[in-house]
Amino acid sequence: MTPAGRGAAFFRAKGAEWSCTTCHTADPRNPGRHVVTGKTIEPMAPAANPRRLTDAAKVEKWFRRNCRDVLDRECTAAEKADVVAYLRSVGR
Amino acid sequence: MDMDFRTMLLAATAAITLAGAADAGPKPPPPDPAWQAECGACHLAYPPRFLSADSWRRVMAGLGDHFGTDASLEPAVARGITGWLVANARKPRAGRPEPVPPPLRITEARWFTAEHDELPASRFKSPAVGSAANCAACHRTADQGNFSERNLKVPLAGPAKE
Repeated sequence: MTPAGRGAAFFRAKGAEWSCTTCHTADPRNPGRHVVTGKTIEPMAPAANPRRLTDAAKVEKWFRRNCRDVLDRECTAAEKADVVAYLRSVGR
Repeated sequence: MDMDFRTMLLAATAAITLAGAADAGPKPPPPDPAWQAECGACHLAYPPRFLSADSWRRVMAGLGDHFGTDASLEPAVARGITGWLVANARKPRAGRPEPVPPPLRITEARWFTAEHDELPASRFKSPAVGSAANCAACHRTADQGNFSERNLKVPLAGPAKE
């Protein structure tokens, strides 16, 4: 499987309660919704939202928080790379 | 009471001016950019005057489990925001000891329940509002830090249109 293919599967995979799609929806080109507060989340795919994945510190911050929430652990560097590859591939 | 017209006019003007001032309250500080960006990422950035310094310290020390989600920050960023929140926090009232432990939730602060005691709890659960954490549902200028009663528009109690 390609990194983007692995990333797509990882994006949909469910942890104890949530998956990435819980807030970001199954299509990263769509806006998402915070599962607790209901706040709109801008699309994750750079094709739909060009500012995404341009700020490394911001990307790391959200991976740290959201991987802990979904998987109860940090994501590995390989997993993050796959998700980034997936998000970059969507809508292109 | 025997009062000439001029005295009455002065008294009326004073009363109207004081009534207006009571609505405004002390001026809030200019928004801290890190607070606005980080604390406003998932919900309204709640103004520092809504909680005591002790409450803010407790909130900021527990960001790894912030009401059920991980909201952790880089330590230097967290320190900066904590400092600003604490400096602009609600001051304790003389003769009224603060609760121990200090509340994490603004909705559990004494001033909040006092301000909202005219509303039944069910009003906060209506589809248009959702929860008492959703200030902007009624406080239409909450995102500008303005919670004046003049800008209050409480949605109807019925189900949401969508």
